[in-house]
Amino acid sequence: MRMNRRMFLKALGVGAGTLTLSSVLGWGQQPPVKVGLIGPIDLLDVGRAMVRGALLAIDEINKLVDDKKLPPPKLTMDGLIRDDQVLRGDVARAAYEELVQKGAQAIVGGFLDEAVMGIMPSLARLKKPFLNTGTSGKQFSELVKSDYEKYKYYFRLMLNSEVLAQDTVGMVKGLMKDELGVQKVALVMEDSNFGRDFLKLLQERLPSEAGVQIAKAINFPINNPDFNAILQQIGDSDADAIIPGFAFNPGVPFVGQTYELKVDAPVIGIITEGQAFEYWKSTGGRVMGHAYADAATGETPLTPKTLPFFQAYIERFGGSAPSRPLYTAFTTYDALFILKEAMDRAKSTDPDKLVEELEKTDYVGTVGRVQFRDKNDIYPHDPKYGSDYVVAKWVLWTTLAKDPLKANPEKDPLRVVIWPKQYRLRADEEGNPVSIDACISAAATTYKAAVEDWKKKGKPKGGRFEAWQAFARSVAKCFVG
Amino acid sequence: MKHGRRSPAVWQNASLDKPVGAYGRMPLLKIMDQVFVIAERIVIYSVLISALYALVALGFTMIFGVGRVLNLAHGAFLMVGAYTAWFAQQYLHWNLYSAFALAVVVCTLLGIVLYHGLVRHVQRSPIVTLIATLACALLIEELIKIFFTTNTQLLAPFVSGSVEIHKTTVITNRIIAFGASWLAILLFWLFVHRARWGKVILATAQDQEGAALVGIDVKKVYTLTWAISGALAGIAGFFFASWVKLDPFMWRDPLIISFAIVVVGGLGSLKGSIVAAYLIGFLEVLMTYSPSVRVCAADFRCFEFLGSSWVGVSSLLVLIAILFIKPEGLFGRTE
Repeated sequence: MRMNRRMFLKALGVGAGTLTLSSVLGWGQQPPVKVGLIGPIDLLDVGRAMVRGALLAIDEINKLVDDKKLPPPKLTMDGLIRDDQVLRGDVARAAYEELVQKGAQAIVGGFLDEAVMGIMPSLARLKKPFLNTGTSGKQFSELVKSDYEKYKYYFRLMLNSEVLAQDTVGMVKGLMKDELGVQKVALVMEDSNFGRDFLKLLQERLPSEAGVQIAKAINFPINNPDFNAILQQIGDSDADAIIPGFAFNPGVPFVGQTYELKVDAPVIGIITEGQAFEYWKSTGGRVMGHAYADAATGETPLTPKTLPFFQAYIERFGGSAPSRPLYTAFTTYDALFILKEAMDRAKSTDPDKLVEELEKTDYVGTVGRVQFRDKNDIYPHDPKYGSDYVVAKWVLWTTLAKDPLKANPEKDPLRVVIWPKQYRLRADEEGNPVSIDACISAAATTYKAAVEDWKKKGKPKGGRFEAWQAFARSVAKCFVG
Repeated sequence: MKHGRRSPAVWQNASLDKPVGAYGRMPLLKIMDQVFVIAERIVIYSVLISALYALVALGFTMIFGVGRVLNLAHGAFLMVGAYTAWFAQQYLHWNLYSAFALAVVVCTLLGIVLYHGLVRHVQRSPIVTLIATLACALLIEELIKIFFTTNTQLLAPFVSGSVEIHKTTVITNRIIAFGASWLAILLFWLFVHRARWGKVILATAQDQEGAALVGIDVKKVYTLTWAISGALAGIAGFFFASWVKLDPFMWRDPLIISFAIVVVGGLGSLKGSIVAAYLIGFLEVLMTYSPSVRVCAADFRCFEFLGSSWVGVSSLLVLIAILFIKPEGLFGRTE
């Protein structure tokens, strides 16, 4: 049948009308995929940062879908954010089950091992992928290894404690021993799963692999608020540096007392809460000179995505704590993009298909390039570790202000990556990375010489403390340029 | 040789950094020197912390001694004092001395308000009073979580830095806290034993009905008692926060310490509270220095005995022991 002009116009009218109506009523659009989040959102900044990272990612992903730069469906987290009360495995498990019941196709989050462990039995039963963006216990990947079919729905963007210890050993050898001349260290670890694991691993590996002796090892109760006696013992042990391991304990009294006692040993280690920008204010500037492991700092352009994320975060959330992204914000943000890519490749939210695609992940995120280890690896579904992938960044708290106690906590604190060397960077005016490795190496040489001088003078109290503060100030100068 | 079955409990030396027998090669004089240094530190640290504990417990024991009320909001009073000083310093930009004075005033008023607004109405029932004051503490915790941050903070010390006392390094602020605690305790002692209103408080504590019969306005005495308790808590809260930390959960430790001290010293006995504060403070510091013993079961679950993880446990063990041996406390009167 030949189409005349009248029929053509009719068909055109019906088609246009249907299209308009369908776009108004939402016909033909896929509903957004529900994604849940579990973390210590009520009590801790790491939890709040997690939520903020997730919200930024979801908004960006949905905008990309609107702009047709990503295929539908969109993602939503509306009404799907749950608190795990920090340590409560039973609460985390109930939250996971409730979120699955509410239709969540995948869940992100998790901060302490104790809580995430509670999720694992339900994960095996309900099979909705869980992307762990906060804990470091290696028992989770060991579960995946031990029974792949049951636990394959578990993935993680954080380095596990074994890899973190390996990274720490590398840092101790490269930065502390070779550059700063450290021979003996004191280990101060909280009595939690993380602290015990970390202590054991460092005790086993530091002497043999980094060539650094352990002068003192302390495992303190998790809520301990008084470190005077511990710090005095460390002073007696003649340790050249302190490596702390605090995940649950906020470390504020430790930092304050280290400063007040002018302990002659720089602090370089892990204090999770010490990654928050507000930590400077919480400690009244006494964190000056401490260096903590972190996933990223927004100020350092680790990848092309780091600075834009950092700026978007500050623009939207800079008015309240945590005003700068903590590591969980970076990892959760990346996790949602990784999840979205896997869904798009799988063209489905079927858990098994999603797992298959998640395993193929090769994504350059805000913290580095993420690829998950395969099921035959010793730690399946953990991120690959190494200079081409994800490594810990050791970030120094510093300032240009003469007296850190009088520095403006909103403007003056600086966080500078001092290890690994490849990330000793600052951003130029266009946001491009500029290496400050030579400048930091020179500051380390000056510190080493000052320590030798201090030793020759009979180690007067506070001498090495002052030398380290001077090192931190020099690093600040390198960073500001 | 065949290995035998693993023993269900393996005793280990939990000294984490020195192998067993490491001291065997040290000269005797050096060992003696180390022992003396440790003893010196235990004495100095326990003397300092115990003074603060005595101050923390003083208001608690006075409220019980006079009104027979166990004020479970006492720890929250301390927290309010600490947060008031912190708020004045951080947000109003007051100097530390003014912030300290404000903390004392606010806690004094809080004591009066709590007594007249709540305790006076439920005082006749000890159980209801316990629950009401505990609910009040929890309410204050929640309010602080809502209006301030849940993050741990440091309250700036009066003086920064540390001093050397022989071979012991002490944070200067702790010496100031020690001095302020003893000053407050002595002023309080003088007030109770020398001032007219102090004697009135003592008389009411001994016999409320008798005091009322001779014309003492018991309600006024209670008001004064709660006000003084609040003021003492304000001072203690300020130093407690600058000694350790400031967070919405910080009220729990001072309350447990106060409770233990008051029971061990004898309910309502000021002298007993001071002695008990020193006993508990000494035990806590001793635990920090004591070597720990780790017992591991066959499934590798380990439990630690003694050592720094027993700091909080030691005071509770003393409390239980006293309840068995001398239920009225060291200086308490039998009913």
